[in-house]
Amino acid sequence: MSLSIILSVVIGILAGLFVFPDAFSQHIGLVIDIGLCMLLFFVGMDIGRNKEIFKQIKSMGYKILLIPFGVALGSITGSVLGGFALGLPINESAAIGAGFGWYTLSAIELSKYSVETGALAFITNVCREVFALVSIPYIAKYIGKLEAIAPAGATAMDTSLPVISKSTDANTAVVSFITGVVLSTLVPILVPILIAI
Amino acid sequence: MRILLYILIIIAGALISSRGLLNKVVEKNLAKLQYASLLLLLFIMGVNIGINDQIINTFGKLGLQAIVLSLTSIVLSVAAVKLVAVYFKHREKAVQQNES
Repeated sequence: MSLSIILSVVIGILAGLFVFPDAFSQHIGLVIDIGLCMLLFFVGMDIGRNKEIFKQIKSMGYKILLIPFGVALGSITGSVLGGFALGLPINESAAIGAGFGWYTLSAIELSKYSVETGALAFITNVCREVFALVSIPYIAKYIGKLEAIAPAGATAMDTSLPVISKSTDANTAVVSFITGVVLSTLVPILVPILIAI
Repeated sequence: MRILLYILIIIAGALISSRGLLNKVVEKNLAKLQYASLLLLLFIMGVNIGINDQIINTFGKLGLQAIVLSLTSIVLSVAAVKLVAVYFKHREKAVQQNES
């Protein structure tokens, strides 16, 4: 199963590079939105079949927020460490990490600071999304279900959610959605703060 | 606004399946249908990346840095959530011991 996920993304990228005409790019956003809504509908069906779910989420209470905060802290610390190895200034690498995979928004925010940083934020967060999609099934299998939410970052509520739901269970899918919502809210707050350090 | 749309769609799916309104044939094949559409969506998301000249051009210039930054972010965020998960398990055990 994990392999077919990797293959779908990779074949898609190659097809986009070599097969599809550029004109297709005007409509592709709409196609993705429709497909995404359909898959979220399926995720909802999985959740509806699990009667225990709200009891379980309720028993976690506010502690559920530890997951998005863990993802936020880990992402920013990770990119600062990576940036340190690459010789990037701390404010730039921290702000790029605070994109949490939401490449459009973090890139727009950071291109106000410098075009180069905006471009790096863009491509770093595109890479994060691709690595998330291909690694989630393996992390779910070998490390843990909650841990499988972490690579997704802000995309845990939309584009990565179907993969997380498929690789884990309905309970984790709900936690994932909440995590994605919290992280998506944090992106426009944290990116400008961190770049101003 | 987008978040609201997603919540509405997920709730609609949850209501339909929890009320048992789902057609038996659909229900039986739901997992397969879900998986096929997932692979199709991932393929199209891949196309969206491959077709975008801006992504390909920037990747040529900044690809190595981007791979390092995204991987270190992912690894440390998985590690951080691992700590949270260990804490949850610990707490669950403590609660169970208190109950028994």
